[in-house]
Amino acid sequence: MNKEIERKFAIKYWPENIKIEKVEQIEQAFLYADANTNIRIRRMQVKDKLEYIYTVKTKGDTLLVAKHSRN
Amino acid sequence: MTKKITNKITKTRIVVPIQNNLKVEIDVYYDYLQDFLTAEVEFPNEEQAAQFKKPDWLGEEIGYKEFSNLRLSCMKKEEFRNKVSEEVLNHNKKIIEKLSILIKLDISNK
Repeated sequence: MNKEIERKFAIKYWPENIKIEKVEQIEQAFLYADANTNIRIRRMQVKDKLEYIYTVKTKGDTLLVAKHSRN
Repeated sequence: MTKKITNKITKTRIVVPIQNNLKVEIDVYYDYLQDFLTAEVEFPNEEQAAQFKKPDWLGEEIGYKEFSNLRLSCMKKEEFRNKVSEEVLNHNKKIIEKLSILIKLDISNK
């Protein structure tokens, strides 16, 4: 499992000349959640590549359970 | 207590590299979370997270758990609007308009 260490911020302004590495279109929902665990399903599109991802997160750790990709 | 999750979250994620091989994931939300905008940085360890000096264009830190995607997916529109002020959403709208020109986002409700 991978432990996630993240910080989240608001955006003050969009800087000039900033490089954009990639753009992803995401739809997601949760199938299950309790105090310790949640199960997320996600549809992610990057240009012509489409991925369906099923992820289990438990107490800060993330386990990728299944991923299906198609172009 | 288990929760039944019903809301689908739709967003555009823009990935931007910054210093020290870090990346910022900017999420632009739609539907009942329209004009919500967040920037998330993921760190390889706790030390780097604690020592992080954010670029000037990033604003105040948002409660990570309070606005996690899990929490957002449980919210109704009214609850979301009570948590995030009109002022913040209007501020975000201007940034999203700039972004949409850059990456041809669809900024209308999806």
